[in-house]
Amino acid sequence: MTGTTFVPGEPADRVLVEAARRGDLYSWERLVRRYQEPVYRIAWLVVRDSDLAEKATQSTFVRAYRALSSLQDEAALLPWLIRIAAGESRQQRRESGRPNPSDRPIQRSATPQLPATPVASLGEVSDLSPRERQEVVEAFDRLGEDDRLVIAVRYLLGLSRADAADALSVGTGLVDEALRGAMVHLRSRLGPA
Amino acid sequence: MAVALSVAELSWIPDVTPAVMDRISRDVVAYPEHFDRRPVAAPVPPPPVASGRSAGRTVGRLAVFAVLIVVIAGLFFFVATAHAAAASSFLPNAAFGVTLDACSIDLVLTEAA
Repeated sequence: MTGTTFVPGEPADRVLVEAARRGDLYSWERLVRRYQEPVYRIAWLVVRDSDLAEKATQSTFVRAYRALSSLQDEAALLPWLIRIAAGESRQQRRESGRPNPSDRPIQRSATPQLPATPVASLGEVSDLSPRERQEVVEAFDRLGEDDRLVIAVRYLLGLSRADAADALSVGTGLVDEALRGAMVHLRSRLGPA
Repeated sequence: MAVALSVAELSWIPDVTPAVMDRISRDVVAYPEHFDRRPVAAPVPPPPVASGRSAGRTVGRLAVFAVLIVVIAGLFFFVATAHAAAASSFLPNAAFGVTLDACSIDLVLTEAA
């Protein structure tokens, strides 16, 4: 999964966005199907609750459709959606009155409907033992929200530095710095090797 | 690496598309003012094509205008010539060269004044 999506035989984001701006709901529906998975993953990373993540994902696409005219670069749709998704997810979390997910057990009871795209980089850690894998997952889960997000947009979604900066609403120069800090925090939570 | 492990546990995700489109469809009807739309540029009307009839009308207008110009110039020339003749009768020593040239007409008028 990368920041710029090109699906052979499918219209480019720019074409669908322009059509959606003219009121073509079918074009927006295609974009929702195209990006619901990365948006849901980001929402899930923020709220760590499948129901809240689903609500946040829905709200993200509804709000984005309302504000389509404010999208400056139609080709940078995904970073824009991620930025909205992060905000919507935080709002869902606040409205639910639930604490920051870093401080509570993760809730994983998603209603399965679509198979998620396999994460390509998972093969890199296949040599880990089940116990080591669990430690990495738990260390990641204990990271703060900002750390999880910057790692996610760069390593999971594969966004470029500029797109990641756009998605996280920070300057381009801060992305690498934030990423380095997040990895330091992760290593510290993993403990001595 | 860690994030890959963490989110890899999400082997299924909910399909939010039907719910999203349902909400948008209802909102578009109920709150059209909330849906900010960039105005679509109105199509530019094609330039009017001159028909044979309108072209003939244009030529006719030009001809009438030319005739009016000639008539006005003729009247002006007649008046100027009459003034020159009158002036020469009172000022016999003055020489006036009246030609069809417009500059000469100006000269005649100046001398007559």
